[in-house]
Amino acid sequence: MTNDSTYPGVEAALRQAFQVDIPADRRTAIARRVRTAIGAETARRSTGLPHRRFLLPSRRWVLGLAAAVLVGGTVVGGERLFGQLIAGAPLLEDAWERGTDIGQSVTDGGYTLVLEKAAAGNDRLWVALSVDASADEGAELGRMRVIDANGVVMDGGTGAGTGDIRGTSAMLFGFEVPSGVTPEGPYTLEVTSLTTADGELPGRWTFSFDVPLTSASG
Amino acid sequence: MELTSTDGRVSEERHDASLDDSLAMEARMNAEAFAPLYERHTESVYRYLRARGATETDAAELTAVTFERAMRHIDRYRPGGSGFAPWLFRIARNASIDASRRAHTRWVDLDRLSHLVAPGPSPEETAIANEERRWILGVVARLPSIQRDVLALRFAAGLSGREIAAVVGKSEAATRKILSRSLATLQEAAGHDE
Repeated sequence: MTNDSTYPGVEAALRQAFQVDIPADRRTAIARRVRTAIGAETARRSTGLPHRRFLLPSRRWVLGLAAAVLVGGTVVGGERLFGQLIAGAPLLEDAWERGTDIGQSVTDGGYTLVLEKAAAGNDRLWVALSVDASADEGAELGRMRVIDANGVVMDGGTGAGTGDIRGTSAMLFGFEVPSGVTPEGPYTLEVTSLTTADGELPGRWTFSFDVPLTSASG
Repeated sequence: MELTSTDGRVSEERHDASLDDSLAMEARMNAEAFAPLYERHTESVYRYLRARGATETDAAELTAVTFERAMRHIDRYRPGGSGFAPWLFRIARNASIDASRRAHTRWVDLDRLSHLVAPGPSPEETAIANEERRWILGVVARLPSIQRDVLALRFAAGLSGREIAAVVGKSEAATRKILSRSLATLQEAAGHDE
């Protein structure tokens, strides 16, 4: 830009201030994610299947929405989707591995949500949820939150999800534990909406569970 | 093929728009050709997201999301337009905005950013550099969001005025004014603090 040299001192300070490098472990994780996306895209093109639309639910992040790895002609259930989801993602794999099996299912509005596993840590409370649509149309999780035994509400965090062409989706989501709080069970997970291609679908899927607090990261 | 990205020097180089276009065109036919695009822009996308206030963890996540989305939607990229970099940074910007809305992310957490400061050659120089960095980030944090974004795109991502205009959806002339006004504000603040 022509005015770049008008304030050389400030510009140099800005460049220096923004000069941050990607930590090696993060760089490796990003590269793995992109590698997976390229592989999924290559597989999709080879099968000629369309992308499955993923919609962003509100009130939380849905990060790492890995391109749905579509297996032509194969019924892919929630369990298998979780396998795809955690493949190549150490943080998710760690959360999955240390998770306690829950296996609760709740159906509302034709959609069955299954709380497969949960894991509580000092920083995050992880839940592994799958959504199975008896209706024709698939859905992803929408609004949800976790409340611990002391009434601490956790409604934000980071997660990753994937889905198959039959409408089943799976998500591992790590609710952020508020700073200075040690989460205590039993916990209540409230899902109050799903996201479909037509928009937000209100409902109520409530799970009560208890899992031990682990010291593992995440 | 192993995906890697080199150190920060990559993002400091002026990106070659025609090379980007060629790679993007190839990636539309062969997904594997997306890898060089990733390698060319990883660092600058990450820095841009950090400059927008994302934590180290969130910036890494959003960087991955940006490239995942770019890969999935590479067919939508039209070579010969404003360029691949603006297209990519629009994806990154949208991902960041979505995430900030949902997570109520603050713009700049100075305490966190202060941890990013690399040690200088001496404790004294380090202390001065840290202080300068904290100061300028603090001033930037008080600017209007569009000014912060333009500064991040210019000085963290290294985009040109034309490219920044394409990302933020304003004319190039308007973008130049925003940048100039932002720098003038910082310069004025520096003068007051001297």
